[in-house]
Amino acid sequence: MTDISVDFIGNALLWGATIGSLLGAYFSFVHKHELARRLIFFISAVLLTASAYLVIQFLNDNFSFLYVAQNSNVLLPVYYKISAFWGAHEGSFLLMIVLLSLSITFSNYFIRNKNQIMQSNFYALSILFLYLLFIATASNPFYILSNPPINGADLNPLLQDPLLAIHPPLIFSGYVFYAITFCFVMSGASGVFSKELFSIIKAWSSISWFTLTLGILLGSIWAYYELGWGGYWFWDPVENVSLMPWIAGTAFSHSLIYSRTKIMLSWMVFLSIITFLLSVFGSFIVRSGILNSVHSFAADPDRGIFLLGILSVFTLVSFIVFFSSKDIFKGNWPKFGSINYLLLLNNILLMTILLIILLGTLYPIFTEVIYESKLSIGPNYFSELITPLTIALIGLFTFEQFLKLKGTVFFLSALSLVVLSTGLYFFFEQMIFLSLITAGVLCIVLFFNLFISILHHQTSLRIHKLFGHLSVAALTFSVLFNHNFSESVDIKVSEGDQMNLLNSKIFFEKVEIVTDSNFNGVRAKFVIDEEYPLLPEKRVYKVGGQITSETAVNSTLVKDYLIVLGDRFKDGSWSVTFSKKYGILMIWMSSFALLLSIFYGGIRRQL
Amino acid sequence: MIRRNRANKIYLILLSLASVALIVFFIIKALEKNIDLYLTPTQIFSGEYNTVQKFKLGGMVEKGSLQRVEGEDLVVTFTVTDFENSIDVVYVGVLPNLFKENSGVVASGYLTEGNSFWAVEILAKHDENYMPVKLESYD
Repeated sequence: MTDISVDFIGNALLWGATIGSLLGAYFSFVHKHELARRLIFFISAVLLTASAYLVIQFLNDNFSFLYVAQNSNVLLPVYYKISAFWGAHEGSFLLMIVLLSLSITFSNYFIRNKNQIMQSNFYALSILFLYLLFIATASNPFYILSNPPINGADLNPLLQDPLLAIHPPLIFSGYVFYAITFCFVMSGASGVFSKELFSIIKAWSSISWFTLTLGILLGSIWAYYELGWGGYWFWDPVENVSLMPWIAGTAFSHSLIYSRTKIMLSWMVFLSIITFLLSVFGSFIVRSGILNSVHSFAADPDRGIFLLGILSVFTLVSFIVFFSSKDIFKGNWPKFGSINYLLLLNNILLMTILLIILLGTLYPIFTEVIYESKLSIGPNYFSELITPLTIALIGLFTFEQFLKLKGTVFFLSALSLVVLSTGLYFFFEQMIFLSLITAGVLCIVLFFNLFISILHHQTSLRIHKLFGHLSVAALTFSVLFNHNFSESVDIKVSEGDQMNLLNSKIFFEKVEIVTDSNFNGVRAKFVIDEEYPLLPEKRVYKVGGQITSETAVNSTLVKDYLIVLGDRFKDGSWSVTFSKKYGILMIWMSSFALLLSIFYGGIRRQL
Repeated sequence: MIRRNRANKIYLILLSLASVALIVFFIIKALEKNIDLYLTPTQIFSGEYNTVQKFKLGGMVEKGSLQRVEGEDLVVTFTVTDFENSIDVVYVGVLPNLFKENSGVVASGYLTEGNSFWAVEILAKHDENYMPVKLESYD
């Protein structure tokens, strides 16, 4: 029998950092800022050493480490050996902690003014301490086996993909950066919101927003190209929990615009709190295993309870600070019809969307606990409820851009838009097209407004806003376009077959054998419409024996062709899924445009 | 003056609570329309659950039950069991990679009149733990 013990070096490093963060939090609390500051640099160094130590075990194929044995393999290429570090629960949490400590260090390096950072250091180090305690006791990556296996179990083949190597760290970074933002907001709520503090909060909130957006987008792209069901978003609970902090964070970033007049300061603080709590909730729910999802690889109830405990502590403390703060409730409500008022409406819409996702995600958990009946919520629930709200949101920010126009001009243009949309709607005579047409028309309006603004050189300060809102409208349009037109069909084909499917000519040219260091497989060659070659693969991984399909995708601006290889029949023919997906490239392009605007919006103050 | 402000604030809070309650009410209504029940074969035959609408069947694929129907392209049949009762499943289409005999499966579809299950979609899932063959002995 194999005994499991804890590696001394790794464990010592973890506990060193844990005690360091507790001391640091205490020093910040009793205003010994210099000591806390030095401790922060020390903790970062210790945690970096601990991660490097673990990575070295991966590179050396040291399978006496349980975590390495479970997630790596001699045959794994070197870059996947490194990314296997965050391939499972323990390592991904360690990575998150390292990122957290590095961000705290980063803040402390750049912000020298004691008054601005001391209090936020207290909150940040307390968070770090609780997470480190969790890692060291419930999720330790440094367990060693007395009787190591000769070879490891391999990294989950679904994770052996370059996109997936960077998707989880980005999501985690997004969460971590929101935690830092939260700490600064808390320090303001328990003290004063100075102008300098606001600019720090704005900088961190843009960094977090950008990172989380990029992380979610890469996850979508990975799902589309790697998972092979031809979709990029499934309203899977784990996707939802990453979207919820994103939506709250979006509302938060917008509410920061109030900061100039200090209207609705309490609302801003509230949004920051729920963004942070939702991101903690995200890591809790993914790792607790209480959800049925493709993502919940490591199900461990003890960890779930520990994380739930951390979540309740965070909730309690942040709301105590929120309600005991006097300064933040002084602001007035925005005037009806003003830009600030529209901003409030936008936030209310975003919060409603958030509530819809939250209820849809939690409902199955409640029914399972209370009625013991297992169920899931169909994706239709989300798309039916969220589509009209998103259209309303786009309508709202389009309206906002024309707020300065004179009454009659404004009225006439609004009227012509309504007439145009209704006309198009009756022309197509189908209900599902209503939102698509509205999104399209709004897109054109936003585009022309951007164009005219550029022509009149009025854009220096707000191009990110015009461009960002345009890309959200374009994104909505392309998502609806994809949703309403995409088709898919399952067929049985043999080599040399030619057939007509979904208005395309498909030619199955050949099948050939492919091999790599860690898998064997077959690759088929199809030609669509005599010009687009598609090369789907089917792989058998040498170690775990897991079979995966590599989807073949050929993208054009308007539509994608997809082929997934199924099973081989006795007579040598294959079952194959052929799909046409519309607007995928448009979805990626508008998302990147959105990212670009968030990025520019974040750095323009520093330029 | 202060008193009036306070009254306004209370009205405002009540109003926002009422609107949140209303929104939640409508969301729950919409939720209930989109529920997919997960049922095991035993639950299906117990008659206590609504099996007229589309639902999800969960269980294990019985060993040796997977068959392709001769002459019919892409039609497969197999048996799903919860070790008490079992039900025959008919599916037309490409089976997912993780679909295996003696392994978990979730199929979404309808109950037919002959008490078999017509699957529209098959979602084979590996266990929550990604646990490859070799390490299982260490647990």
